[in-house]
Amino acid sequence: MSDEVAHLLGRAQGGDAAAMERLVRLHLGAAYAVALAVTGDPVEAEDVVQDAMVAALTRLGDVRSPESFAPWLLQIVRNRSRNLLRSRAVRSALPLEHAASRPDGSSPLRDTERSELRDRLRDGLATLPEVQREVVLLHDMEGWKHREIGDSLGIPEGTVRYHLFNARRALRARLSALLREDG
Amino acid sequence: MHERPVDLSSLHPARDPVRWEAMVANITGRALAESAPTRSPLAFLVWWARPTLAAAAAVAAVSLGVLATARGDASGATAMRSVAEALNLPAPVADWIVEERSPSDADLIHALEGDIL
Repeated sequence: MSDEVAHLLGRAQGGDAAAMERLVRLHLGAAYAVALAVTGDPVEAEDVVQDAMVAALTRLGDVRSPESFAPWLLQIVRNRSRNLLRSRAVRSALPLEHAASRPDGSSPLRDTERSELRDRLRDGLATLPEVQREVVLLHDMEGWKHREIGDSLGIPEGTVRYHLFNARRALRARLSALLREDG
Repeated sequence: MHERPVDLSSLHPARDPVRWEAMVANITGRALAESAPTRSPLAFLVWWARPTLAAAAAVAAVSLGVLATARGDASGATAMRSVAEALNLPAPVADWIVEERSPSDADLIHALEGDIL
């Protein structure tokens, strides 16, 4: 993929729309996984990932090498997602009359999209530390390799395996508990 | 150390192709719009001033030509050549003056397009 990314980066920097779109398609899933891991909210994740990717694509000159593009992009997504969390914390501290019209964070879109399985998965993910959420989403949802995840997070491959093992075990235990509660 | 993968596919944004395509289009469109080159104010002034300066030079040339015709003596041609050179007018414009002829329509269009400046 690195060769393709190198080729696409060169063309995209020259304003090639098709190359830019291909870069988006190649990285949108991983970027969304990171945004979801940090925010825990699919609607907010969609918003923040779009803003972050636009910001990244307008700064392609900052990319040092094709190999560093994905980690660089995901760091932008991570930073913006954390900024969103901080602003969300400030908003939630405001008096009630200034609070958002939907204080429970729900939206019509989210309500209609909600499914039992997705809710359970989200509830399960919410119990994990952020780094484990990111590792398990990038690996099990997006299909990234341990090495790629390690490069993105700046941690050794062995640590990625450790986080993945713990995340899967905790997630499975949580989902089983939720199923038992329902049963 | 192995734990079976968890099926997280229901959380993937591509599960809804319409929303996925909308996101791709939105990101690409906004990125293209925001990275499009913009014309700086200085570049705009230069772009605007070039034909204006050409027009001013043409008017000056016509005026000097009329003056030279009115005087009608030999020293007038020399004086006009000096004036034209002092004004740093292009050679074709100076020629109109010294030859005591008014520029043709083609000459003026040529000058207004800025090709001779």
